[in-house]
Amino acid sequence: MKKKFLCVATASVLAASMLAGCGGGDDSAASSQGSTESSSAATDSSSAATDSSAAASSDAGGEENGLLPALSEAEQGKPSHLTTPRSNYVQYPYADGEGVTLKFWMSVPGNVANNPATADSVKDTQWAQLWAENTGINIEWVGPTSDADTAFNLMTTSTELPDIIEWEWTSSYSGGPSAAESDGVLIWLDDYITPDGPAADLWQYLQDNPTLDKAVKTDDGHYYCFPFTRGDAYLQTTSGPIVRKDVIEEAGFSLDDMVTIDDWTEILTAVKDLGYTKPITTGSWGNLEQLCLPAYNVRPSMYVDYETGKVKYGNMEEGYKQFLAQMVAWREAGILDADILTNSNTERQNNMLSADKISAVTYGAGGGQIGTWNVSAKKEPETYGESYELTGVQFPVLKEGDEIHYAGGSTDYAISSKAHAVITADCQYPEVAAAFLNYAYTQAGHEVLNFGVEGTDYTRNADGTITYSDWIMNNPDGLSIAVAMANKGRANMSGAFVQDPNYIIAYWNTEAQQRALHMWNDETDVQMTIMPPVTLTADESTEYARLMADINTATNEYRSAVFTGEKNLEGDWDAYVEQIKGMGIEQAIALQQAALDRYNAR
Amino acid sequence: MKKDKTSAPAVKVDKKALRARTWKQIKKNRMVYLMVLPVILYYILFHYKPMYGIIIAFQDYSPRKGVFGSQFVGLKHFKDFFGGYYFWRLLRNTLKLSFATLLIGFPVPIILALLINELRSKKFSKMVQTITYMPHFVSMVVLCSMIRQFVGSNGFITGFFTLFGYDGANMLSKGNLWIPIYVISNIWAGAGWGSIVYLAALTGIDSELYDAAKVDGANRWQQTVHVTFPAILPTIVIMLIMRVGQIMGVGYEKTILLYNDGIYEVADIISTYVYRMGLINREFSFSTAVGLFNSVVNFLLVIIANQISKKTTETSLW
Repeated sequence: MKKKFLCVATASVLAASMLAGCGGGDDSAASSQGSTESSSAATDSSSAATDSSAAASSDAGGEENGLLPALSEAEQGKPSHLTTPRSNYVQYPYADGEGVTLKFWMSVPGNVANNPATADSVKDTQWAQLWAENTGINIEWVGPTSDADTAFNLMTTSTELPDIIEWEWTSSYSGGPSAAESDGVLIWLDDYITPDGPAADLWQYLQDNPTLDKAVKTDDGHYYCFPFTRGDAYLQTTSGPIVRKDVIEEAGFSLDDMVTIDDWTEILTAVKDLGYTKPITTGSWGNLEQLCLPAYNVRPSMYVDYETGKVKYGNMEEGYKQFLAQMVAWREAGILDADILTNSNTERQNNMLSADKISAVTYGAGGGQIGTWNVSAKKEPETYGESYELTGVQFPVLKEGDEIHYAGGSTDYAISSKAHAVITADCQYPEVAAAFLNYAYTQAGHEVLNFGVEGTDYTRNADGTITYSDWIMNNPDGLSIAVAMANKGRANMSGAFVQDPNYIIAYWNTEAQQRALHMWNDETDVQMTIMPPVTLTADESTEYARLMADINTATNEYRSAVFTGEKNLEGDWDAYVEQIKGMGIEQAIALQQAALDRYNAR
Repeated sequence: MKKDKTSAPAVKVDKKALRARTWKQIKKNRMVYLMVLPVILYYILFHYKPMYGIIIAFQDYSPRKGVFGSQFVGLKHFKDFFGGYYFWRLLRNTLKLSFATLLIGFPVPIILALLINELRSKKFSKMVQTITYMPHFVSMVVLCSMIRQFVGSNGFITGFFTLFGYDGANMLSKGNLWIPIYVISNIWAGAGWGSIVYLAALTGIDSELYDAAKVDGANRWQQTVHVTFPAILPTIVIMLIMRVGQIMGVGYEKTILLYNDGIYEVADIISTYVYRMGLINREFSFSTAVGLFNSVVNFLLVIIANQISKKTTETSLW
């Protein structure tokens, strides 16, 4: 009897749990549609100025005189360099903001979370406090310290949204900004980003920088976000190939010898003979692509071809096949870490910063990796060796003299950063929220949010560059520079503001870092090949997402299987290309091409 | 409790009297009802109420618009799935993995229980039980990271097999090793715990049966075959029926924690696909449709297995 009961009970649990679908959806009908039809005057006036912008980015970088150039005057004349905000139209403290508290959602940056004093939230950072204080608007800071994607998904499915959300809306929200608007997540900002609106300073900044103005609108000309902008070409590529200078020299070569892929093979074989078990390592497959794929004139996934300006899908290009062949050859030769598919940044650090001979080359950032690891190694020379020295080298190329067109990130609209602020449909005081966000684009707010308080946290030099305070550069509590800096300003993080290039010049103050900054930016011309923030229509976006879900599965599966030797590159490549064609890759490319054409026509 | 319900329609009783008697019953057993109340609430809240969410399988669901605001699209998502590129592969992998776990994994706890039952030393048998139960109490995440360590390129299992000519690569990157790793680790993690049910059934066997068998001259093996096994057969059948009901729902947690995109060809199953589509690609409606398909097939399998068992062994769930 008892047994029978047990069985029935278990069976019913089973049946119930099988059927339990997605719980607790929300019943709130779509919120008010907001002001969809009011196309602003500002939109029209700006389009006339955009003509020069397409060709503009081709002559980025290029100053060759020693260390980094002083940026102010000489740079600002160039169309590829953005200006820094120059207006102070909106009056702060904002009069209508009194007594209003806004909820601001952003994922807590690592540099903030790594500070024990601000581990859970940005609310205790100086910049967050000054931002609220100077604008006279109360802010409740919310957001996750890890796994931002899941947190964002959960947040946007919940019944009540915060007032402001920092995220990326063209590629990381299914359907793009238009879908987010019709889903009742965000509102159009056309009524606020106007010459006399609460976001007048952003309006001015967009007038000054027409390339950016084009990027932050939808195809229909609606403003929807307060963008995160890397204000200068020197901020476009802050990660790249970093190498152990001492090891390369020990192997009998100099850093200048590391030019072509074949040079790398030769040099790293010599490094391997020194006893290094995994001469090249990276923290992920994606990093390996960023490191070596530029040599083959390909970017992963969708990108714009340098010659033709057409959209291409990198993972089916001939260059990608050559790249895969080289990576397999390197793995088989013992030059490349065989565990890359399962590596994380922890393994990368363990391999690069080790008492044993493991790795000598990786992909990383000038601040977080070159800076931090050099400092760690200097502290314990008996463990890591007296001569430990990391520095940056240029991206490898196939033939000597090849130019790099397919590395690095974007300067104007930072498309890969989930850091563009929108005002949500649940916000009761959109005007106050707009004024609050506008502060970052005023001249005064720009300085405060980037660096902190002048005189205390930094000093301004005669040539326009800055010098960080001793508290930041040699923190008495033992905080790393990046973490200390993140308490005073947002400059080394992403967010809805204009990133000031002076931060990186003051921060990357060692010779190794300066060299890296030059190598990664002066020698590359990459803006043309990045897919700009195009927007798909809601239907296109659904179709594209469905196509790419299968295609991404296929491409990830194929490249992993080739890398591990499960599949044979020569034999299976054509079948693989046929497979993703059968899945509709051409249709997906066509959708992106159409969106790019619309973007270019804006 | 059962009595007043079944007897009510048969005999014509005054309704008032019946109601009074029911109340009396409830009052008398109020503590029992009180005890069962949280369980009923639990089922209503967590297993029945969410069922209305299945509607979104037939909609283009947008969370902000809600179940009632989203557009109805009928069977679109089902068609997309059945016509999709990966449908047959997912189905094949799911069934393969499931049958492998069933065929190899299902008998092990039974054999283990029989063996433990045969142990003479109480102390030793307790020790064996404790050791075999132990992995069950380790969280799945920890367990899987242990497996990853063991079969990684520096793992001890990999190291062991390299002695016999294995090439030393991470074993999880080899498609043909996926099912063995999955099934064997499943046995390691679950066999001890799974044997409890059978051990319980074994203790219920009347010892007189063994005495009678001994008198008839049965040796230990014959006792096992002719007394022990028939006695726990109903338990085995019930467990089997329930296990059949999970064929399509083979554990996604473990697969997600162990697989990598290099071996999707053999490792990607319906439930991991649902996870990726729903939680990573935010295709809520599509993944609900796939999940619903999965549940319906499972449900049918339970019913079929139950019917077969009813006909053949006269043991069944209902």
